Amino acid sequence: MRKLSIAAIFLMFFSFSAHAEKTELTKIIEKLTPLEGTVPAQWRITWIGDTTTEATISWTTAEEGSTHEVHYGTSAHGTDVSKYSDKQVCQKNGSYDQGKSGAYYHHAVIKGLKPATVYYFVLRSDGETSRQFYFVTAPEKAAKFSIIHGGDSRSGHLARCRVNMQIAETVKNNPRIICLAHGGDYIVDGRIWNQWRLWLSQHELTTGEDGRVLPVIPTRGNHDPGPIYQEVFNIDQGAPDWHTTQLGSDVAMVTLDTNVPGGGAQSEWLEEELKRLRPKSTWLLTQYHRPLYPAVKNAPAHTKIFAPLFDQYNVDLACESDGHCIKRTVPIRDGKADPTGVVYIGEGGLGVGARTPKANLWYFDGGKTGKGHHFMQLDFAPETLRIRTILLGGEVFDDVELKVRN
Amino acid sequence: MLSSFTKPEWIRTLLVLGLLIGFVGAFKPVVFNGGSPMAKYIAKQSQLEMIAEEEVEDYFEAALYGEGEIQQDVIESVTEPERQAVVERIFLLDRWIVGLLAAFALLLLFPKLLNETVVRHVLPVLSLWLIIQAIGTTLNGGKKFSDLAVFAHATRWALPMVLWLFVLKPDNKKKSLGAASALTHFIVVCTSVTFAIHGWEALMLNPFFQDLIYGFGSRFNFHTPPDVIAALLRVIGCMDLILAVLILFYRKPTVFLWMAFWGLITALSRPLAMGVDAWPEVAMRVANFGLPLLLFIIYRTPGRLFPQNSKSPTELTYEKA
Repeated sequence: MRKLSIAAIFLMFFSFSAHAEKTELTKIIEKLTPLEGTVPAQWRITWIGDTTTEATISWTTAEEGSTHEVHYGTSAHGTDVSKYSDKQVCQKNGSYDQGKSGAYYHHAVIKGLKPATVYYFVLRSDGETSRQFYFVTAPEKAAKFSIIHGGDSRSGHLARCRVNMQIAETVKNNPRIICLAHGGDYIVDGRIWNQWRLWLSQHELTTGEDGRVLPVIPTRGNHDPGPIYQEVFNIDQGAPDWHTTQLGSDVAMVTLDTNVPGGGAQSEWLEEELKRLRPKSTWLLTQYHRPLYPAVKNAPAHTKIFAPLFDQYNVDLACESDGHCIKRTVPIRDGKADPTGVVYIGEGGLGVGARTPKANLWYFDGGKTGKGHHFMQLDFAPETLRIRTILLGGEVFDDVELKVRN
Repeated sequence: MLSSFTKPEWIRTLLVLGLLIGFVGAFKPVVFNGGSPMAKYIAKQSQLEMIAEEEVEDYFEAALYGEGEIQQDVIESVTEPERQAVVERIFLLDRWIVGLLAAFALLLLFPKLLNETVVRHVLPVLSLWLIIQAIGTTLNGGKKFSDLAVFAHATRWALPMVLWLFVLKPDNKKKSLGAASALTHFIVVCTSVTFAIHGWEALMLNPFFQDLIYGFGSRFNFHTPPDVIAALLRVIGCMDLILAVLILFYRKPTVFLWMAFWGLITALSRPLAMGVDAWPEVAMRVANFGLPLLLFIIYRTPGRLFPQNSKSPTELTYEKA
């Protein structure tokens, strides 16, 4: 009898767990847009260049369609496209994976926006209209705003979805967050469309219930080779994957590519950019995939090329991914701890399984390491930059503040 | 001087030293960088299995894209701490395996123990371990040319195998490493494969190789232009490929000496470009110049220890000698 009772309790427990998990998955699925016909799905905004006046709005349809346009303006009009003040026909349409995917991308580059302004928009493909979305352009100058940085969403679908939903929740509670800087490794193998397809669908979960879309500043990771990455983020095929995103006139994020040589063309470009940006930037940030001061793996060859330039031009913060852990180094200059140096944060936790960092490395003596799914919230102000590591569940794991350089 | 190095004891000692240095290089990342490539792959796959990744993926694809049928009972049955515990056990086992292999490898320093079956038969296990790690590198992916790791690492995993075959019949001086012996052919082929893959990578302008050249120049405040780096790599790639093919048909000591020198330079290029912290990169590539050096010694000394014109290949294999 006793054994029977125990068995019954176990059975009830497992049935309950199965039901609970199924409910979670079902709830997630219900929030996502099935890919069918010309219904706009997998929407995202890419921020490269001047984010006070420009944005690229993109989406996917299952069928090619013929007319794809964004209706937008500074007032909300729901799905009544005729009431929006502006319209942009997609400048670029095509089939993902260079025509092999059976799904279609549509990119509308919209320009002439006003800084620090809410823009409402709907997507329309051959008469199929999306719900109303909105995003906020970056402020022009010296304003207070925040961004989220994270990387490595490449495996762990449920964890990826949970982190995405938490990002949406965090933005809801902190409306001053204006974008997500993704440090790369979106999926396991960037050459496979089916993996991108899932990432794109699950990325919808970063959209708030009120339709707030968080623009992405993309970075190519080592698991993202091939043409689809550029098709997803509207980067010209063959163009370099390094770029600058200007978040107003005094905050800049320089994105680098650690999959190609750091030396030569990339370091020349980097030096020019840092030289141009440093004098006018209150906060100068870099992001790239492979960490220069890693918490798990070996340092790449890029360390000897990028880090001296970061030192020379006094980069404030370097955002890294790839290690699947949490880290914040002490300020580093010339390969040594130095209060005037660059702080390196990140290592990626947007879904991928966590690894154990090497906490005893010299550059963590005074810094912080840990493991767990997370993202980092960066709060910019004219005098300070606050960096918070937020774990899945909302707990703040690390909270520090950088002072502006004199 | 050279003749003393051609004695079997010396050859054996050099091989053992090369093997130990190579293993220090290979073991260091395992102990200090979170685990061997294969352990990382197994840990990753275990984690994915425990979170029912495949089933969840099928569920999404069925629900969102109409592919397949929706499975009703997709659950994560293992908690996060339990998953971490499994992963930690995998890496603990990984360290134990490495520790045991390292301990056995150290025993090789004692020549008398080489004749002990239990010690010498660890050598093929070491070789197998290196092959498995190369496969792990391929499976993990995420690096350019990682698909070719097993072939690129041919000299690494061949070195313990060569030593194993060499010590099987330590007294058989004439038929051990002759110029036409099966074992020597094996060394030549492995060296050729490693050079061919590295040559191909150079020809395809492997980004890491580009940064090695750039990083080396930067140490002397010289910024090598990208087109110069590309030209250099193409020349290097062609040279490596020519050498790889050449030694299959035309074996001259000077060619092997050059390959040994070049293998040393390319191994040293890591710390030269990236700093002394990259010393394990040299250590794990000791076979890249060690095996060509061994071939140089073999072909440099015809008629002394190793007969140049042996008659029957089968006669020259260890088991059948």
